[in-house]
Parts: sequence; C-alpha cells; structure tokens
Amino acid sequence: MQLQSETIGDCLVVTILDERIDAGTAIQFKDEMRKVIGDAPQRVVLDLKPVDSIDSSGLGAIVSVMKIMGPDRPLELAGLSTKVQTVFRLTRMDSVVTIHSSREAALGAYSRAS
Amino acid sequence: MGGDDGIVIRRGTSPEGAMRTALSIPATNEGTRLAIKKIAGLVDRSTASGDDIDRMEIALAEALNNIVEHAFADREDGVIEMTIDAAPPGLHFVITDDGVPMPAGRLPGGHTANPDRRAHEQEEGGYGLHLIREVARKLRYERVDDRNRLPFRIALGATR
Repeated sequence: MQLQSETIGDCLVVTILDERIDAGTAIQFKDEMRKVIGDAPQRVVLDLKPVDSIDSSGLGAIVSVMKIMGPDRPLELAGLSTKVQTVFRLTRMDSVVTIHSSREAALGAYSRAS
Repeated sequence: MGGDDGIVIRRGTSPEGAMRTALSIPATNEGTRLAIKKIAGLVDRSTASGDDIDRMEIALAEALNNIVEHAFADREDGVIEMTIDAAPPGLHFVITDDGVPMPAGRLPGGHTANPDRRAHEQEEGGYGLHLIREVARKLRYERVDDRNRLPFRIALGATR
C-alpha cells in the first residue's frame, strides 16, 4: 500500500496510490494512514482517484482511521471511482462522510470557506 | 486451463443445458482478486453495463473474502469451487468450499452505516453481507455434504 501526502495550506491531502483498498491491503492502509495523520493539520482529505475498487474490509479500515482521528477532525474523501461510489451508496456511508468529486473540488471548497 | 496463479477455468454445460463456466480458485486474497478480474473478463459486454459488472464484482469480492477470512481462517491450502451458469438476463453463481460452516448455520444479517451517527461513530464491520444482499438476488446459504454452498443470481442488462 503506497500513500503520498502533501500539505496544502492548512490541509493535508493524502493520495492512495494503489488500485484497491480491500481485504488484502486494509491493514496496511490503516497502518500507513496512522503514520501520516499523527501530526497532520486539522483538515485531512483522502484522495481516492487512483483507487478502482473497495470492499467491506476497506470500508471498515476507513472507518477505523476516522475513529483514530476522532470527532474534531473529520476525514473528507475525494475522487471516488464509480465502483467505489456504488459501495458508499449501497452502505449509506455516503450519507455520513463528506465526499468531494475531486481533490481540486475539495481544496476549492476550503478556500471558499476560509 | 490452469496458470501459474493456480486458477483453473473449465467451460462446459450444466445438467440443465445452460452454458457453464467452472472455476477452482486458491483461497487467498491474491487468488480471489485475480479470479474476479478473470470472471469480469469473461462477461459478454454487449449484454452487461459497467454498473452490472461493478455489482457482480462487489458480490464476488464479498462472497470470496468471507470464505478466505472465515471458512478457511485456519487453513492455507483451501480451494474455492465456483460454477457460473448463463441464466439470461443474468448469471447464476454457486460458490462452494469445504471450510468451517457459518456460525449458527446461516448468513448473518449485515447492516448499512447508521445515518443518525457521525462518521467516526460507525461500525467497522458488518457491511459485507449487506453489500452482497444489495447486489445479488436469491442469495442462500446451505451446508451440503460437509461443504458450504452459496448460490445467488446477478442480473445483467435487465431491470433489477
């Protein structure tokens, strides 16, 4: 599992460079995320653009990262593929997580808000 | 035909005369991932939309991962057997394994996220069975001749 993280203003953008977050990569994903969010700024956007698919294990890993980050630092998602969107919609996870169409949209939302 | 990945694919006819594809799949994360890719490649794209294929892949990923993680939790040498019969407008799947039975002999319920709770308050598990129930039809679980048996149907190119 490869991640790339970049601080843009007050926002940490983490890009997942793998094609999938699934039973085979969920634990690595969680461990790598734990490392990068440790001293991250308030706002963290997870860019999933390179990710083609996610399964229930991957979904669980994302929830577990959200638990590590706690109530005051909500994790926002960006760049979901159609298959990943389907998984979020069918599990209703799309109703409890902030999802941006792209990383650019996520950062744009930030600059308008500030 | 069999390759270095250990996946064996056979083409033939079911006892009812339907076109059948049978697969033997190593019960590992890598084996199931490759098998799903191969199965998606076998589907006739003229009869299936991209969304149909996504749904089929979601069902297969959840069904196969469940077998790897639970039925074969304490075994490295597990093999998953699958038949896919053409059943227009869709495909009829039967997945079997000789791993340990489902607890209580039936499929657990599964659940969605709880819209009344915040993201960090959601459960970490339980979404897999909900997902497979959403995308598959006529899903059952049986224990037959010391094997777990999971039949289900995936609609392709038709109203669901």
